[in-house]
Amino acid sequence: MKIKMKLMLSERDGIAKNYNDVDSIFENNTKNINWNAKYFEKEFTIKIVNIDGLNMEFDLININSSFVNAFRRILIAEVPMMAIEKVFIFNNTSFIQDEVLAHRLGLIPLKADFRRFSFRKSEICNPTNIIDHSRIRFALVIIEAKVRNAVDFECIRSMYYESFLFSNIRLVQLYSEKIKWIPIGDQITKFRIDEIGPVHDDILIAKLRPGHDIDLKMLAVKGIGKDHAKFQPVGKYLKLKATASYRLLPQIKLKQTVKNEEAQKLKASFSPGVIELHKIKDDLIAKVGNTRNDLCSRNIYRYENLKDYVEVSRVPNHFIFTIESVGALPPNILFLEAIKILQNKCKRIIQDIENKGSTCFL
Amino acid sequence: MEVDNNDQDEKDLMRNFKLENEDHTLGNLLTYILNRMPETEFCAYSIQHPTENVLYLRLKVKKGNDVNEVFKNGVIELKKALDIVEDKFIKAMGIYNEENS
Repeated sequence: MKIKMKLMLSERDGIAKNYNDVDSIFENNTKNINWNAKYFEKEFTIKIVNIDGLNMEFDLININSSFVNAFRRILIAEVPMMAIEKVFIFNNTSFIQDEVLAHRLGLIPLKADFRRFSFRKSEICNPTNIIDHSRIRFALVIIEAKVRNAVDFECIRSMYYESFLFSNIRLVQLYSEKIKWIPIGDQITKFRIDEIGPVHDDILIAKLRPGHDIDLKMLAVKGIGKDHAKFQPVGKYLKLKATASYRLLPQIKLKQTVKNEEAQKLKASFSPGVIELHKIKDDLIAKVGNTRNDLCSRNIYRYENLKDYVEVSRVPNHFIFTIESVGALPPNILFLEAIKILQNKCKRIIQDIENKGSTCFL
Repeated sequence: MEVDNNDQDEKDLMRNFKLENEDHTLGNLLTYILNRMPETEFCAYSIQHPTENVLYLRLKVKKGNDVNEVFKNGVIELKKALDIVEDKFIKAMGIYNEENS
């Protein structure tokens, strides 16, 4: 029953001529068997390829792209995260304006397990009633940064009159390590000190000249990426190329043996590790290595003499999924949370139909 | 409950479902599953305006079926599939941790 499926990567066309092509290839395999969970259970497999700190790569095999895309969309937009939402500035005489400073602080990723907090119920605008709110539903974290660069009058004179502005002497750099967590209510008994705080200690927030002063209190809340990108639990800036993303497994087939110079050209036109050269007697012979690394650049089609030697394609039902966490939670937990969110959506709809809810029918 | 079709015979065979606060994430997934159910004649979804945050799903079923039942079965099937994904992911994590410890 296994039909080998592939999507050809030809010289001029895109991956598929139109959107339906991807589906129709998959369809050949499933049309006679109407899709149901039992069939899905039999066919579907997951293989975890690599977990490296905050990055994770795994394979989803025999699944439709609508599932994979749903996971991706949920990870980016709907899995929650804690981030700084309110900044109460008591004093800020630094070069950075209040609103810019507040924005910068909001983007600092926080390590705090969002599963142990609840969403806030209402807008809180006053620093005095924070405590009342959180005591019931500890949805909030207060973080304080207080830095003062001591005033030295002689220094100020030299600073402004002797082009001191351009040197780094006496300049205090305010890093995210200065952000300290103040527990509210019974949070002190529920969390360890090292459980809550910024993920990275070396994020530069501001530079302070002598006499500059920053004194503020911050409030972190739970939110989702749909609302603001700072609540996005998957990465924005680390070493991987993407946040949560998927691609199809590339497939490369050599139609005939390629030797020596041609083999080297062949190797150079794919990503590193995709084509390996083996020395057999006096000849260098090209062999297909790890196709997973290939980025499907189609560079091979630049060489008229080489392009007929290879067949470049993709497996349409083999997805390579990568997640890069910001650091609040490990990526495998984020994926499980994403599934949970989808399950809850289903549960809500089922309940609504059973209760003949008005929102569900038109 | 409004049904925008006057034909009495076909009335119970088709319906527009209105899902609030949902987007393409669920719309695409549900139409994929419903289109592959043997009872379904037609299924498609639309989001009429990007700011509206409402998903409309149109479902027509073959004769002898109930639209609501078919729709509900589709969602239940989706829920089952997600349970399977969750299960297999946890198992795969176990295997990975064993191999790398």
